[in-house]
Amino acid sequence: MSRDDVLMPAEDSSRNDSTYIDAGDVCLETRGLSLGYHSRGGRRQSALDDISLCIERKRVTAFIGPSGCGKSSLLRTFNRMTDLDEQSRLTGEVRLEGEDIHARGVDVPMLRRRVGMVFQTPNPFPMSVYENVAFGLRLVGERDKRHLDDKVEACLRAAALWDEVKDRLFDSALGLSGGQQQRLVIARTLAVEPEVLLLDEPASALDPISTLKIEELIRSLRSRLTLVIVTHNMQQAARVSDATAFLHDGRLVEYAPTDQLFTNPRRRQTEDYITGRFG
Amino acid sequence: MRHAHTSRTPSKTSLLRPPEHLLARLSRYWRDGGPWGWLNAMAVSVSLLLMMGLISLLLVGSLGHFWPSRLVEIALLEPMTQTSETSDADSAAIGNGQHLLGELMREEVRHVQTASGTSRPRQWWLLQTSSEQSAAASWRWLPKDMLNALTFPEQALALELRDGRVLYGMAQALSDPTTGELVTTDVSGSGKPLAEDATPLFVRLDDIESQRRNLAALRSHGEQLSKQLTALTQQYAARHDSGTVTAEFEEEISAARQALITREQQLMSLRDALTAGQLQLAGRGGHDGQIALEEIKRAWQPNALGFGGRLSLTLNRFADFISDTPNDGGEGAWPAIFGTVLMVVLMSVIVMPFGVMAALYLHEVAHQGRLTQLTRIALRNLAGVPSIVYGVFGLGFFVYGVGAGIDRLFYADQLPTPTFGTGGILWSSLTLSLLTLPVVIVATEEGLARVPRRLREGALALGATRFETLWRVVVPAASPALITGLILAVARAAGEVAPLMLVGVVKLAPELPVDDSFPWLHLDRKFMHLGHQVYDLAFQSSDAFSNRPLVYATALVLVVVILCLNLSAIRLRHLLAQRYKGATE
Repeated sequence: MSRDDVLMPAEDSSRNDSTYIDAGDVCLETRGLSLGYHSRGGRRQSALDDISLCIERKRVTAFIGPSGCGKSSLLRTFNRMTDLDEQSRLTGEVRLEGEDIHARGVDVPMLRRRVGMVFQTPNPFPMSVYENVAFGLRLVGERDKRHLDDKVEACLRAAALWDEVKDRLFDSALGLSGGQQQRLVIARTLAVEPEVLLLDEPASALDPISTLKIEELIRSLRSRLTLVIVTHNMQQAARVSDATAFLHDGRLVEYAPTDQLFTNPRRRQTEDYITGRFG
Repeated sequence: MRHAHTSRTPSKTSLLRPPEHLLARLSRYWRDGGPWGWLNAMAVSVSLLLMMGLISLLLVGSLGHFWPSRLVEIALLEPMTQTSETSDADSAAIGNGQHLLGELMREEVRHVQTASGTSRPRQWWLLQTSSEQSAAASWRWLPKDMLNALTFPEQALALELRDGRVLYGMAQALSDPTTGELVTTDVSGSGKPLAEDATPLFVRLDDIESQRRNLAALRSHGEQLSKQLTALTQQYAARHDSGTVTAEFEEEISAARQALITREQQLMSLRDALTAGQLQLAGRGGHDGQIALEEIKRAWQPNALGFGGRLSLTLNRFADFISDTPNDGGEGAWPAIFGTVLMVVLMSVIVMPFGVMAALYLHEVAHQGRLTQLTRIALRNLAGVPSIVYGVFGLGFFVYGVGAGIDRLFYADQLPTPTFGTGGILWSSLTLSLLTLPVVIVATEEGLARVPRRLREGALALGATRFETLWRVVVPAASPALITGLILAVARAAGEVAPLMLVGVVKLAPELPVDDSFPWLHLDRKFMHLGHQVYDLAFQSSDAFSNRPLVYATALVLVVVILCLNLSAIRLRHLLAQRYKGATE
């Protein structure tokens, strides 16, 4: 395969398992990324330790690992949500299409429009369904009613929610069910046309049917944008993702195409985790 | 446990309690918290009872004043002479009247020192008779043993005058509308003497009421006419200079002048007719003589009224009390109600933006360090500073500092008469804003703290700046809490009197702070306040006893006004809470 051409991350394949991604297909890349916190006692705690990996464009990449392994923290460095923690210290680089997003002078709101994020708990705003989807558009000054209407409908259709909410677009979004709310949040994020969509355990608070719908949605969005999903559910990772990274204790243990990682893990630790012997 | 399961033997401890003796039961009752429940219930009941007691005291005390009680006519046994037993001036003054008409207020037994030095009890009645000079009622103590007869005459009249006096008496004669002579019988109707049937009086009073309305309409029309005439005269002067005065124009002017003159004459004659009507009243120990009908605001015959009549009269008089302006010694709460509400509204308009901004800074923007914490503690303590201290600060800073500065800069031509350099509604509102600022800040901060982190993150993740996140998501979601802050602020401010006395409240303000002259809202004016009115009537007046019902009535109005202000704020909060339901956790 042509993917085998370049070994990425390049420098030290000895420390990380290698994934073969063509240099032109790299969307997000981290180099020697570490994230530390000052805990209450003044002790430094490391959430991420020297992580280097590449995420392929228009593919679904999953991060798995036991809780506290740093997979959510890694995801939050991709759109600088880590900035919200005043205590956090970040070293290394995160590159979006080659640009270092943690560099000084980066327009963070612009970055977040390009890298959208969906959280664990559905968080629709206390407004109508319509206003939720239009929120991001209004932020960039869109006022044309017809354009807004079209965009809202398109995004709700893309999130497979249109048929369920078209009759109550102007009712409060908080009246929707949990699964609907989560799809609404995805629609809201799609409205600002991100290149990357980060999903932080998007289905962990939902029932199985809603989870299924979210997973279908993720697969359908694969053609439009790059998706990165954090999940503690290995079956889910296996079902929806193209590549999977296994993190443990802030380190990247193994990163490989999903079928390879789940059928033929190279590391003992990975094998133990996916077979349920720990974690 | 597992053992018990597998061997299928019942557990050894039974669920049923063994029989207990009384002491053990009592101790268990105590441990279960039974007494606590009762204690709590008692505390709630006591508070409720106190509240209800307060409200009913206010209701009874104030409505009693407006309730038309029966008038009693008392015939005295003999003309009283001044003796050692009736040493007070009031009872000595009774001497010239054989009959007295009034409301029986209460009964009291007093011990009187006789000449021989022994004390003997004597029963006294307190009678409220016609007011003499001022609005204050007259009180007379009568010894019961001096009474000969006691009747409740059907025809006894009570007259409420425009200057606030209340007169009791019997109608004797009414001036004839055409001749102006006093006649004692009903000429046009039944022919009965007026003393037996006062119907003509009520007819005349109704008539006068409608004429007064006519008069007001005529007066405004006359003003309009005179304005037209002025405009025409100016036009005439201009045309005269240019020499273009036509005959038609001169005719037009003279017609307008004629119309005005006719209108003025109409006004004069109507006013004369109004003032001409007189009533001859037999005062029975009170006011004897003629009263101009125009002076009478309302007349009624309390002994002839049924319950419904009394109730509607009471409510009418109370409504008058609420809507009247207290001039010429009359009673009325309207300017005070208006002042209170306007002051509270202004205060809210000032305090809400400031309080919300401050809370936003403290909670959202400032680094959460020791300094922020200190500020927060200081703010919470500020809520406990006595309100009079704020009043002193308001006087020193706003009135003498800022106000005097404004006067020097913008109203220098009017000095030394101060415009803003004296108490006014603006300074009062500002002072109360300072007073309520901590309450708003604390409530807002608590509301902000309850907006979940995931909402902020959601907005930030969509590319909103921190500012956009705050104003579009966080503040709307916290808005019910902001209104809670407003409710607390209003509740605190509306009842506050002490600081206001220093910065702008007066006993009698000549004008309302809002009127139809530019700029409509006069922030520099002094105003009246219900709370201050209560204080003034109860403690600053020379006749505290007869003012007591007014104190109750004013207090009742104050309570109702605060209740309405609060209810409207609560309604607003309810609407917002519906809208942002589930936004806070």
